[in-house]
Amino acid sequence: MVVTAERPRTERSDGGRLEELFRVHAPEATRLAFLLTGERALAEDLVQDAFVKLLGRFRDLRNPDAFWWYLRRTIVNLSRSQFRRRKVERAWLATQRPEAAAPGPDLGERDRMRRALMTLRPEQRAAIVLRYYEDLSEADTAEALGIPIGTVKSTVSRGMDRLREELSRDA
Amino acid sequence: MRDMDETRVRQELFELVRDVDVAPGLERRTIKRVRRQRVLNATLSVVVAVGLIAGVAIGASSVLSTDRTPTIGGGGETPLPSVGVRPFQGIWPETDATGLADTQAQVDDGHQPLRADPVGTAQLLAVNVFGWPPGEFGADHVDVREDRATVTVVNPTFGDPVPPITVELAQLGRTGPNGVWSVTGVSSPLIEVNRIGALHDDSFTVAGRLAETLLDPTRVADSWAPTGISVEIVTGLSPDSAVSGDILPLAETWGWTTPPLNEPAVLWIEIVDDRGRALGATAIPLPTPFEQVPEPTPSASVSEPSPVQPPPVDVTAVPPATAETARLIYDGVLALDFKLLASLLDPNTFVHNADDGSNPIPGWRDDPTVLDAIPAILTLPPTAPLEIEGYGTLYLWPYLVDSDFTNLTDRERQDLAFLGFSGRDIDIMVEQDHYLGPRLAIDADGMWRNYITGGE
Repeated sequence: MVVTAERPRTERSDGGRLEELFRVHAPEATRLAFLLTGERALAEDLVQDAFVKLLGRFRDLRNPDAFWWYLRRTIVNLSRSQFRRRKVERAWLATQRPEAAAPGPDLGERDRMRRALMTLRPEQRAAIVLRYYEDLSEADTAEALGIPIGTVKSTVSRGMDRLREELSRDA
Repeated sequence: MRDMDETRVRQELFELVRDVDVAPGLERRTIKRVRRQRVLNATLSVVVAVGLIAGVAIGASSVLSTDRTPTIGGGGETPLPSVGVRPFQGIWPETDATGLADTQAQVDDGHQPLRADPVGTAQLLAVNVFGWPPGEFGADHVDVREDRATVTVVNPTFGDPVPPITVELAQLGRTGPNGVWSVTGVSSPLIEVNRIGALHDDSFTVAGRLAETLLDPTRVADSWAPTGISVEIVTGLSPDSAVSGDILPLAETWGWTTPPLNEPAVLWIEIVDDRGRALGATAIPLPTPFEQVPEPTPSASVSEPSPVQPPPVDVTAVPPATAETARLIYDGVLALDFKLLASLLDPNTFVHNADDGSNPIPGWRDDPTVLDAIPAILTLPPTAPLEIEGYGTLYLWPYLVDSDFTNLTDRERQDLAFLGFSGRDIDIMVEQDHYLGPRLAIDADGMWRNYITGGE
């Protein structure tokens, strides 16, 4: 018997790679998460969860060079599911350990946009952010969200209608 | 803002995040969680085998006994298989009498002189199996008694944390000065095999523990670093004879399940370093065929219950529909019956690790190891019923989800250990004041509502 099987990489072999990946991608990830959640604290949690989820299994990624692609998709997925997950898993915990949901400082005009974004359904918000902030094509947005291109178009369209409505109401 | 065109939206979005930056300390907290999660992942990947074996070996009710806690000791003291048929005692290089006769003929012709010497045979093992370079190691202790011998081989380049490996040898054919020596056993204090045996007709499982020194970064020398646990079932001499094998992540407890064989085979377990060298090794001749492992007779000791009965799912104090689903989940996971599992959940509302609202079944089919923890957690009690708005009454397994980690009871600590968590893992949960391990929820109507493998 000769041990020739592929060896798994270990923590020791990361050689600071985790820290490097975090420093490179965390700022943009935080901004994306903020746009998707509207809360800085929640965005931080989400970014942390996404990194943990991704870096914890980094050795399994088919293409580690595409880390941002994976990270962005993870953040979007986490943001879309956060409320549903919390309902199931943590609603009862929240009553025992209430956490303040701090939206951040009052940003005036910018806060109006934030609040308007938050009125959108999660998939509408994600589609608009990916299309217009991440500057993804409709095809890439569809891939990131795991939905057909046609659905991206209609989701963005309805989301934009809703944004206009909310902002005009605020004005 | 009333006139919302795409360009304006872009500008507004960029303006909105203009001063949003990474919070101080987030990097440290995140990296810490990543490293911790890796520890948990490594632990969780072996939870099921350990749990199942513990249940098979000593019964679910006695799993919580502190007497179960094994100690790291010599491999010769582990409960090796005592049943089954194994006509030839040699495990290396020859695994049958015909092969031994061929080698004896070569030795008689003046070839392979090392095989006529127990130390020489042990050295061949070290080079060919342990991957130790010639000249890098030596025989630390030699005890020859007629046709039996014990040789300990040691590789000084590893330093103190890596003890010698004990090699048992015997002359299984001709005895005396020119008789060929065969390896009949290999053991290392670094590897303990708790239990080995047939779990069901279609699976064979082995589980054990590693010495803590291997997992302590402060004890690891610059010259070596353990990278994983190699487990292989070998039926013959060549590398091609490895009929199944895997590299498991390093963890205090480990386990491995594979289809059984109907021919003589040897189970090799090695801790390998980043250069492919064995830091520790244990070889166990397997009883064959496994299907012939007899169930205990009524007169058998109560400490040796049936090796083929899985531990029962703990469904005390839950509604019948919930209990039935729990049993079906247990059976479905063991059998990897995805059709059955799919029938127990609603993919539109089921919550799982992917967190994307998708059907979990395709992902589980691609990577069924995600489900490994389920049988073990179902052997523990669930939480008291929890009323969740929109979801009705839920029962969560294990009950540890609802435990107060600032004041863990001995029972809770024992149950966490049963799930495979090390003391370090438990300390992390206490620090976080959360159960961080796998959990699942079934509602009072018997609908399987979620399965999360870990995290808060």
